[in-house]
Amino acid sequence: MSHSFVTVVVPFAAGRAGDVLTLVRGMGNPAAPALRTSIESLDVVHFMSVNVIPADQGDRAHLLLEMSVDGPGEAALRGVAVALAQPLTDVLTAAGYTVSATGLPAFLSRHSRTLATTWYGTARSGGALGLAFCGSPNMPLRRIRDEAALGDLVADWSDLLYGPGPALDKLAAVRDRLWARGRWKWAFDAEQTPFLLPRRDDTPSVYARIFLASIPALLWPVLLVALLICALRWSVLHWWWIPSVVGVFALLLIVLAAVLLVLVRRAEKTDIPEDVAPSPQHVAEVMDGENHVTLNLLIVVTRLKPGWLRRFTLRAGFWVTSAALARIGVPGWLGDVGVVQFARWVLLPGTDQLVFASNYDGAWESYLEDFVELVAYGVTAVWTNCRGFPKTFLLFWKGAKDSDRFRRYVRRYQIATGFWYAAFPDLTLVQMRTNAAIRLGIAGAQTEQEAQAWLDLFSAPR
Amino acid sequence: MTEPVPLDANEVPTLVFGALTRWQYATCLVLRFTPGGVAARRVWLRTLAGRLTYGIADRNAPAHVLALAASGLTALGLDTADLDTFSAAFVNGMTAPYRSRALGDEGDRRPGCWDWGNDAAPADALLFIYALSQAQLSAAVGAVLLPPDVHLVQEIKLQVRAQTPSGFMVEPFGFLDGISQPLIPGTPPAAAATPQSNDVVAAGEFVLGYADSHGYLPAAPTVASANDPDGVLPTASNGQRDIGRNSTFLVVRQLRQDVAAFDNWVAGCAAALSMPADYIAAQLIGRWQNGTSLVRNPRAPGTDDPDNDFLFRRDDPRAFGCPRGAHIRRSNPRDALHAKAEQAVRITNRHRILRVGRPYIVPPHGNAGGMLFMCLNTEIERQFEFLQQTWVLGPSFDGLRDETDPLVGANGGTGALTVQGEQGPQYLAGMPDFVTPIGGGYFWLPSRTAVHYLSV
Repeated sequence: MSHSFVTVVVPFAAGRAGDVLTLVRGMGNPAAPALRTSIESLDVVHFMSVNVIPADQGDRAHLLLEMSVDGPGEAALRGVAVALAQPLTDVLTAAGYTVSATGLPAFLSRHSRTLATTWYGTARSGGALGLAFCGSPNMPLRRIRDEAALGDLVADWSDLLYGPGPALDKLAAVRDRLWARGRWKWAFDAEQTPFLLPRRDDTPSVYARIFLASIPALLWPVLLVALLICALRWSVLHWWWIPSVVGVFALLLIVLAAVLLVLVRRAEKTDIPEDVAPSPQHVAEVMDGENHVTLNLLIVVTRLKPGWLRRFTLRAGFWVTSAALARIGVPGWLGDVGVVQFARWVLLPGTDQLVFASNYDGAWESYLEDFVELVAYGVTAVWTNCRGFPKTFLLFWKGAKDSDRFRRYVRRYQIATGFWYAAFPDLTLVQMRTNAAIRLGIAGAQTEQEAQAWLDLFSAPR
Repeated sequence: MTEPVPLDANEVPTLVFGALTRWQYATCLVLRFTPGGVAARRVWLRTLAGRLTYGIADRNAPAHVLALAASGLTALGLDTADLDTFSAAFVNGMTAPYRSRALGDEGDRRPGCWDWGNDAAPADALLFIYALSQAQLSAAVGAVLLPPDVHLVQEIKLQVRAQTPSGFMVEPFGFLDGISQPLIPGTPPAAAATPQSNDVVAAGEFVLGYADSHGYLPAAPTVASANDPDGVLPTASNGQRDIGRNSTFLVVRQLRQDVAAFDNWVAGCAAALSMPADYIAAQLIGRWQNGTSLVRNPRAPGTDDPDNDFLFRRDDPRAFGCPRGAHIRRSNPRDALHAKAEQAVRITNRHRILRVGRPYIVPPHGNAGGMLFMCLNTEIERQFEFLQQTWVLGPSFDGLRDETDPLVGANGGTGALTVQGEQGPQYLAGMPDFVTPIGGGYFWLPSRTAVHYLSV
């Protein structure tokens, strides 16, 4: 079963933001017990948040409801509209909308946005420029829950795990006890577990394929121009027509890339980075919403730099990131970062406001340092397009590497979490991967070496 | 790498250059400033300024170190806007509720239960006095006259216990302490180190105004130029006045150690598992009492000096020597958390702290009550707080299942440590609290120039 990302963006008059925020906060961070029970009963929602994105300069604030769910997004949104009908209609009423409980599903669906990076995807109605990421592919709620219970159960069987003798015998004893208990028989069938797969290398042929994929997604207008030039210049009947199209296309791309490079460098030299500490009051308000459970939500709202250039480099950055993540590394990992459960970027339609929302494991400090140390080029390539970001070099370099200023920047633009729900608020991806590996070992480990690796799982990370 | 800029010995507080263990007699005066009285306090600071020690301390004289809390800076007349250029962690303080949550100071560890550093007994400043004899200490303490609006909240008497020939202290549970420390190029401790040592860390990680390990200058507090009309402070890059240069931040936590509880639990656990008590105790720490490491000496204490030339993942890949959750591995995982050793050490070193604390003694009998933990860093959030929250207290640190640091965590009778080994995982369980915080705060160690600025 695959995941869906639901992103509902509702604009409303900025003057109402205070009232809306009060109601949203009232829903709880983490979610109030009653709401939690309602969402849990749907059994499809991994994460959900409702937040108020303040107006940047105009008079429109936005209500942002985002969910990461099992199965189709439409169905999950209908479910949530029923389960949370009361609080959500209250919030919308405060925002100035008259929505009845029965009209709520249609209202939310109407404001729901599909994140896309292609020209067509963002231009069509209901589209928005954005990027979504899932750290636990092919892991529906049921599986996460069952494997966590299995891992906790077996970890307690020190009578079987500890002692002299081959690891294979210990594994056999664990299998026998599990089988005898009846309800764990599902564990003996392996399932696809993408986040435990070996790393896919970034060979030249992978980059070639990424380039080819970029033509139908982003570069086709350039190809059209090349076709047009060639059609006007030469008859299509000549044998060299196709090679000339390729040649002209390549030439156009080189020229465009050079122009882009020059423009970007010029902008980077004149853009003014902020070096301002977030106010202690703001940090206090934001931190007040953190560390109530092991997982946390980070919401950062930044403003795009003016001009078409930054809109283009942002789109290109998103597209390259998603194309690379789909083909390189381990699924569910952002390079070497394996602590992001579900995250998304979205450019709020009709504004300059770029929202980053990420459900991650552990502490804010730890998460930000992972960015800096392991994927600085990635976050730099996105946030370099936003005002005030630390100085960058050719979009990817420097920027987030200036760790202290980067962290100050993120804190400054982070907003205090309004409503936040996490299905497993204390279960980290490290633990999820270990639980999955324990289950796979039970299902399939056959040699002494495999059994030894399985035994190590009870005291070692994945 | 470019040649590091030498530290300005005339400006940088002496604790950066070493923990002053040679000065075995020491005390920490916890001070509170009453409202008003800014002028009088500045006069007092002016007289005190001449005693404060910078650079490498004179080997025969007493040493003085002044640490100021955010509230102390306000009480000395620093503008609110200027104060807000300091890091939020320092301004909000250690006892802000959301920071307590991150630091594990909850339940009976909450600041409300502390002896000092909370609302009931706030600490606006700490004055540390170090001496070579009890007589010298008494004379130095007597010489520091407190004006009427500076109150002594309490005095914490400090002591270097049973120092070994190699210069290490013994902490109250009986372990040698302070063996693994970051080394700042240009300070005496770093002189003996090889350039490749994993412990050599850029000066900017511990002193403001110097490049950090990424080559950037740490974010530094500034003062509006209008508030420094005489130009006492150097000019900052943003055109304001740089009050941060050559200063550092000091984290203080007074940690009560329950020696009886520790010894009892270790004895009980050893009896239950039929293993030697010193072996069980060593699993919690990651070193034997004599300081030798479990990585190098997994079965019995080493006979040499304490060793520190080891990595975890490289030298003990399955953690059969030192348990993954042992205190020294959680506090400094070295290469443990990433596959490539060099990268792992580099990342870990972004979270190093320079420890300069020592045991405190409880009057009247003068027994050791625990440690006055003190550490220096330039970014409290990235260094001390990260280390405490993510590594030391992190329940799934390095893939462990719901464990916390067995030594300093809130064990509450159910603390556990997984010990990895040839025979599979073994659990040492049922630990009570061994260590409880009873005071503390975030402080700033100003440079000589900054003290001068604050006193005029």
